[in-house]
Amino acid sequence: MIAPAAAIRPAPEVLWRRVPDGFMLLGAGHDDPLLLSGTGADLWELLGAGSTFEGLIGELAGRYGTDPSRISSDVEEAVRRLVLADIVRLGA
Amino acid sequence: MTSAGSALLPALAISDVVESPRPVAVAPLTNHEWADFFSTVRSDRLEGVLAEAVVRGKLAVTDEQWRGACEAANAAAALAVRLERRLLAATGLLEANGIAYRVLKGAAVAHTVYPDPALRGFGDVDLLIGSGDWDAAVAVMAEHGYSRTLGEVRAGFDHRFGKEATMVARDALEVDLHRTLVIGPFGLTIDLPSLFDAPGSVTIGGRELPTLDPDATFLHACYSVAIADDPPHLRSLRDVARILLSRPPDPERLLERARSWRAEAVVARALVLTWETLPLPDGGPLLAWARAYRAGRLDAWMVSSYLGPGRSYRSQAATLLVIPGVWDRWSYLRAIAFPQRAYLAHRSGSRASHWRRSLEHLRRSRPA
Repeated sequence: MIAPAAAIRPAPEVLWRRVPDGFMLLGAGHDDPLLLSGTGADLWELLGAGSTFEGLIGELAGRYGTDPSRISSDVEEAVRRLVLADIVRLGA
Repeated sequence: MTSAGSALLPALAISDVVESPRPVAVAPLTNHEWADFFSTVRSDRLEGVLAEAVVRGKLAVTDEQWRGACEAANAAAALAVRLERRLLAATGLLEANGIAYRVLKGAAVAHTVYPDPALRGFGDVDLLIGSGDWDAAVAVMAEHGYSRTLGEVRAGFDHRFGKEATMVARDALEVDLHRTLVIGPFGLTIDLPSLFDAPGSVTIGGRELPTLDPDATFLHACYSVAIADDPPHLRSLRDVARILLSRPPDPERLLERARSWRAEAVVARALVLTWETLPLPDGGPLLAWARAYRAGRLDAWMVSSYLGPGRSYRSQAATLLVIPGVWDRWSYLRAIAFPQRAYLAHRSGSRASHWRRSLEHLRRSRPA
């Protein structure tokens, strides 16, 4: 489980481009770029300013007009996928 | 190209360069017109520009056309990030072996000239290598799995007269090593060591990489428009327009450097061609200079050697005019007249056919 105060940052080595539906990203050590659209694209945009996990959930919940508790598990899963793809890094 | 699609291309090409309330098109093209238009957009690597124009409401498209535009923009973006990963790997190799380089063209320009790199597509990695490091750079790349697409014309030709070597990785991505900025005579009049004096820089993937300085970047863009491709690519015209309109170089300093490179005719042609092709606002004092400039007979002929059918042969012949010294001219002439067999084999030709083609093109290239 990701701690609420955990810092979530774009990996410095990540390469990316804006595309009409979101973002095309490539993490270090990976061959295939990942297309992030919808919620994933929103998540990436919010990371640019630097976020904590808790803050990120709050921002997304505000954007979608929903309760943070209803999206936290989905956001956690998305963040974990991005960590595996070396696109974002989790800090303490 | 159908006239409706063709007419939209210049307006599309400047749709992000100048702030204009005028739309590129208020009604979608027919599917037939779109097919031609879209084909040029893709070959000119304007997929990101097209998507941006549609998103900003400057270009009307059908749903089907929009789906195709999105797929193309995604493919272009995926290629760009894969090439940038390749760029980081290649420059890492060069740095580890103490080889100085400069990042050229697409990757450098996308991040330093455009507000959004998605607006500048590219299809390979381009690196400038110093003449003294040339052989070492080619060898290092070869040791790490890159193969050269076309061998050296003749031993020793590359680091004295050559322009580039295309190195292809196992994944088919290309890294072009450049010794100079353009093939032919104008490539030999550039002060190449000065390009390694005070670099610009670009940050990609968290690493700061050296590029050409801003004036040299502009001059390189001018070579691309004026003499690299005939007709020039829209993306090259966009580079020249965007630099001149958004961060114009100091005219005196730029022209002094162009004179020292014997490139005034190139700069003038690039600016006039860009403003003739694209509906742009006033380009300031450099454009005024370009419109008034008249090249001397020899420079005009050197420029013309890059244009039209058979230009590769004619620009090779014109190169003789700028090579100093009888011995170097003889070495150059001997290399292009008698290439090594491995080079000819790559080009699927024999010495006899090489000679026939060369003589035929040279016969047509005498100055008027």
